Amino acid sequence: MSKLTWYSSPVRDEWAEKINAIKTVSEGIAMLADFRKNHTGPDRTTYELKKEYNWIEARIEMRLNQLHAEATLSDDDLLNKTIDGRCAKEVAAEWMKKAEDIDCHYEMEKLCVAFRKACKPPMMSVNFLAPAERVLVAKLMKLRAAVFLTKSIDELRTARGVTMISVQ
Amino acid sequence: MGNNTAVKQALKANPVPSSVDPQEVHKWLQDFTWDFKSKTAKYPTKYDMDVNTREQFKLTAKEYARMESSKEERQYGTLLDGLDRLDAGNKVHPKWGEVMKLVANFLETGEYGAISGSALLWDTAQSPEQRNGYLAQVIDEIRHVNQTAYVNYYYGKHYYDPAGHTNMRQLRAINPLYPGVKRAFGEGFLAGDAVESSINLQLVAEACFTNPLIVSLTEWAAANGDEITPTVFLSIETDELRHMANGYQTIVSIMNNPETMKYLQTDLDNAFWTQHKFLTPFVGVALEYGSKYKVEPWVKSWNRWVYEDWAGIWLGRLQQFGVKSPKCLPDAKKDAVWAHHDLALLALALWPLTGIRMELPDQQAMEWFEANYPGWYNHYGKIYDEWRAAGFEDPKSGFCGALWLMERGHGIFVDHASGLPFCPSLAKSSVNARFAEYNGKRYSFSEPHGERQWLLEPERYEFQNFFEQFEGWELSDLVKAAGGVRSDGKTLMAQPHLRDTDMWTLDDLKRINLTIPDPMKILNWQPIQ
Repeated sequence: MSKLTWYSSPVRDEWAEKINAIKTVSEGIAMLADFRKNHTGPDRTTYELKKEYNWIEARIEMRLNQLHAEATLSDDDLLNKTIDGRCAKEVAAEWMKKAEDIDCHYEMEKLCVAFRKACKPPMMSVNFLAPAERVLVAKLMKLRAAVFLTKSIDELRTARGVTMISVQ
Repeated sequence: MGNNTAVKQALKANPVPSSVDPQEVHKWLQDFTWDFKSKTAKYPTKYDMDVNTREQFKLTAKEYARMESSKEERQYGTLLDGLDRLDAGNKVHPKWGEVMKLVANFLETGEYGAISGSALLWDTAQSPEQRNGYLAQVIDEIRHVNQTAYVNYYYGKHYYDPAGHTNMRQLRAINPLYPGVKRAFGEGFLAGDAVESSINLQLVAEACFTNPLIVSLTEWAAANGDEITPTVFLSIETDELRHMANGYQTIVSIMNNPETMKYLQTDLDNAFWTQHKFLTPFVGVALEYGSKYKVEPWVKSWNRWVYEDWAGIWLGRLQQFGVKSPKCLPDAKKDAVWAHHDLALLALALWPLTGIRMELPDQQAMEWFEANYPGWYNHYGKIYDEWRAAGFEDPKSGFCGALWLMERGHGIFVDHASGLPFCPSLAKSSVNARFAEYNGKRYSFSEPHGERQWLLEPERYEFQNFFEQFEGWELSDLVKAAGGVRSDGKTLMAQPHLRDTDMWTLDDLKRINLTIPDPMKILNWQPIQ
């Protein structure tokens, strides 16, 4: 086990072992989806891996990419399909369709976070992810900016479910 | 085949110029109004940038690079010949030579972020002329990265204590002030809406703060014997004027669209607060606490350049479109008086982590502070006198300002929006602390503007703060891991005085017996009823 230094930690060692144990694309997809759900984004279920989550996520992505490239050598599959074999163009269009009727910035934020967790490479190739994300995020920015300076802090705290605390 | 036809058609419509006059070539290039497919930008933005926007500089990149290379020759020639012969590196007052370790390196991060920021704009704008302006700025920012890094390099070769100038990129990893740089420059310049990045970079950082930063800084540098910094930074500043013009053109390009005013005020307010939160205190600390010979008090320079010149005259030009001064401006004005004194207190309390040699204000400096900031001594000066008496400089004392503060109930927290440390119970600036719990995690904020930014864009603030990153590290181990020791393997690069005797070593730091805590975990936090 590595000693605690800038570049290694027991947590990284533990995850490196788990990641190396993945042998198939489907196992990798399951691990990445689960990790993103629980350890990334403002809606994560736990902050216990906050210090290392970027490193771990990148390692899972790297491993999954490698397995995917080994299993799928066709350019068409790599560029035009999601990692689980769906048409990337159609999947991206579905996400953009979901955004059409949203006019609340909290709902739009949820959609953008969910989109990123579901589609960030290697789940979807970046040639489809980036244009779709630009459309989704531009809409989120517009919805947010319109109310940014007008809503009261109390209103914003309540909507988020934030609890104010102090030292006793 | 298809491409050749397109080229032929374009050349037919725009015949090759009859001379190689740069202006004519520029005009010829601009006539190629590229047809951007369905007018979409590469990056998200709320704004519609007008395809017909003009650009004032009217030079091709090649012509522009020729002009810049002439500046380079003058600058590097001066440094490597004239200033070498004058032994300029050793004529700098050590107090100033030390603070330049931080200033040059922190600004290098800003210039690096600005490369991406101006490239982001190049990829977002629709007008060929406007893109030409941003392209030239990319070239400038690359030049500036080299220049600011060269200041550290030059000092490293010519200044009598190079430690820190040589490896500040490594040392800054543990500097509690550095996350403030990352937020304002590393993130503010290149993330989010491309136009908001432009407002951060060009409209606020460059148009508002490079005047007080670079013009004041060079003045203070020269007063403290430093001819190196003015030689480089004034060369940089000649480019900044052009970047300010780019910022103005960004605004001009979006002003024709009636939708713009729904978003612009928000972006302006946020960009101003983001840049101010780092630049106002940091520049004030560098000038006033990093100098032996004082020039104009920072608050006066700030009022003239930021408040009167930028908020008054510069933004005044945009009033016709409905743009107002940022709502946070009164708080910023208060910060201009006190925020740098608040930050200096924490920088001195945390000196082992800064990588530079700092000393407590001496009698002459204390008198200057009191004369220019009435009330300074009773608030800060008394603390410094007490620290001095307790052995602040003495390596055998085991004294640490941060522990002294914590033992007296003055907690140090990290502001979750700006990334900078603050001490709520001792701050005289606009600090209005608040602490929150959300989704199982605790957050600290030094004021409402940052809290609002987080409440509306939580995904933007997922960085690890200093306490989260280094919780559990013993202080001397942390400094050693960051490369903070000199070539003997034990003497610290950072020191709490400027002498070459009584230098602190890793053993002296160990004597403090400080393991980094996370205040958001160890204190007894309870919901406010």
